[in-house]
Amino acid sequence: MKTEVQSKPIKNGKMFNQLSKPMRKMFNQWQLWVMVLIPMFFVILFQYIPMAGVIIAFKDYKYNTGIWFSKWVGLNNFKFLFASGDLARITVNTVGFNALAIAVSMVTSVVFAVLLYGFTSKIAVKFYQTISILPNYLSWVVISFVVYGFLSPEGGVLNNLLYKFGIAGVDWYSNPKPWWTILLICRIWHGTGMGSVLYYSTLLNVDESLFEAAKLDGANKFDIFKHIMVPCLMSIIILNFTLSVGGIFGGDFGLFYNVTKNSPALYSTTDIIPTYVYRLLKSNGEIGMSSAAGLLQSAVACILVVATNLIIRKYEPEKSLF
Amino acid sequence: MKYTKFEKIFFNLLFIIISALVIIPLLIVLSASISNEKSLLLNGYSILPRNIDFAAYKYILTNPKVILQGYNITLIVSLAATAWAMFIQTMFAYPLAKKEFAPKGVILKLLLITILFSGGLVPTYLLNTRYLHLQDTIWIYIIATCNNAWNIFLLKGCYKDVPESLLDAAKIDGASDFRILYTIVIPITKSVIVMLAFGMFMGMWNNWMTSMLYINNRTELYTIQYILQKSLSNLEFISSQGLSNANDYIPTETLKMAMAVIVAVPVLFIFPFFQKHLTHGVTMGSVKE
Repeated sequence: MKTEVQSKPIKNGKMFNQLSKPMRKMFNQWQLWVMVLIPMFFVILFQYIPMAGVIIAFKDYKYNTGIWFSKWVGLNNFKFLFASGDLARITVNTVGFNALAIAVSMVTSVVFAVLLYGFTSKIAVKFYQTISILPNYLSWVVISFVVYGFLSPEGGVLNNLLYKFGIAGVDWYSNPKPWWTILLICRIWHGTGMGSVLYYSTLLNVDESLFEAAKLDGANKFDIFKHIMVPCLMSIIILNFTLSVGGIFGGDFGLFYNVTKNSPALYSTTDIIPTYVYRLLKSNGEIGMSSAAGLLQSAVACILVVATNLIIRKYEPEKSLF
Repeated sequence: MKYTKFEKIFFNLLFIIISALVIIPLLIVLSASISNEKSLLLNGYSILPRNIDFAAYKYILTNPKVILQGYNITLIVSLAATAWAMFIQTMFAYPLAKKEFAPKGVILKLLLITILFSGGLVPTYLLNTRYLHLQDTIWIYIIATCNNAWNIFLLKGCYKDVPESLLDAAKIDGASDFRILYTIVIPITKSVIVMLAFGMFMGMWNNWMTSMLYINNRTELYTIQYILQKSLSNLEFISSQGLSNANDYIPTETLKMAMAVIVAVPVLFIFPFFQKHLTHGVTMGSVKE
């Protein structure tokens, strides 16, 4: 139902009537404009202006000359980044771990939700769900203490267990090899519960009669899972997947910085792009290389999300993001 | 699709084991915090405490200044940031949900771009420190994080589900847009808003990175998580800046664990109350009719 805002003149009569239709409409909608302009100010300030700041990656930024007057050096910062040899390591760590984590956490979250769905008792569901979500409310700082209780070289639970079997303890915080597994376990412990909430809610919205009909047709639980549940969850899964792919060049800074206690001995497997950018910026003061790495991260992430979305749009148009 | 009797037993058992696996790591920290320091160093960490000793907590109670200050700041900052963000986001989504608002297409596209591409750490850091001078102030926590395109899209979708007849009736009665927003639309979408607010609050409560990046000189502005993180490497930090005498016995390992417990426990008590909103809000937000 269209409200007749367009052609209705208000108080000032003649002068107002002489304004064009769009102008009149704008005046009548002034409250909507206020509601939009105040937030847009902050969007432009805190999100668009930094976007323009990626130009720093192409300049030799010096504090006293600021952004405008610092020398333009083209791709030099990127050349330093490539030459330092760090780029290969951090890219492998970032993309490799993220791809692994995306796959594993998606599977565990979906499986958790599906298994949870089978319970009839609401109390059971609430109990299990509450406990599973609990780790998500802990910061990675707190979790790093929890991990320390397991991995502490002197008295950690893991090393104590190894002693009991006569095996010498491992200095976990100095050996980079097992850390992908350790961090993956942390990710799963922290994220499965919360991740499954969305899938579980979606399952609740599935029409019960579908299950009845399938049972009558002789379907067993596995068939029901494959042919009813998975298609229903597909759009959410694809949405999550598209978003996760966008983050594949990023990574949970909190996880990688805190749980590893930022131990340099572990950098060969635990240094990812965000931690690298941060270290270069804050500890080394290498603004040029840091911003080059940051720009690479943002740019590749953008390309990946757009590409993934295009691919999805080709095959399942309604399920694409935009 | 519900479980048969046999499956019920099996899966209940499975989930009890899973729940235990989730809880046990936390128990290890808890029992370490109430253990005797020497015993902990000798025997290591375990699920049950060996010699129960509240020395760590006693120490914290006699040196509470830094921790209390941290809690204070974190609480203020979390509430303020959440209130501000919710104000901005609920307001922002309203015109975007109205058909007759012409710029909404452009604005939605602009918001979408912020999801796809961001400036990154370096430009944001320079903006906040060099040009806006927000470092070492309390505002760095509060104003920068108010715009979240996801939340705004979600709210827009929920606003659209509000029956138009209600809105039209209000308009006919002469209500202004602001009035409609705050007296009709927001009460109807309350569940989603509470869910978003709670998520935002938790995010701010667990925030340590802002302190690490931007608070250099004014240590009274540290959030509780950052204090916790700092105490891992520098335990003397919490002993009230300089008042510790040489004979002060600091039970380091148990103290660290006790601090983790103190930081984590309030959250764990609060969140079950909001869980109802979480599941309800997720459903409301995700079902697209």
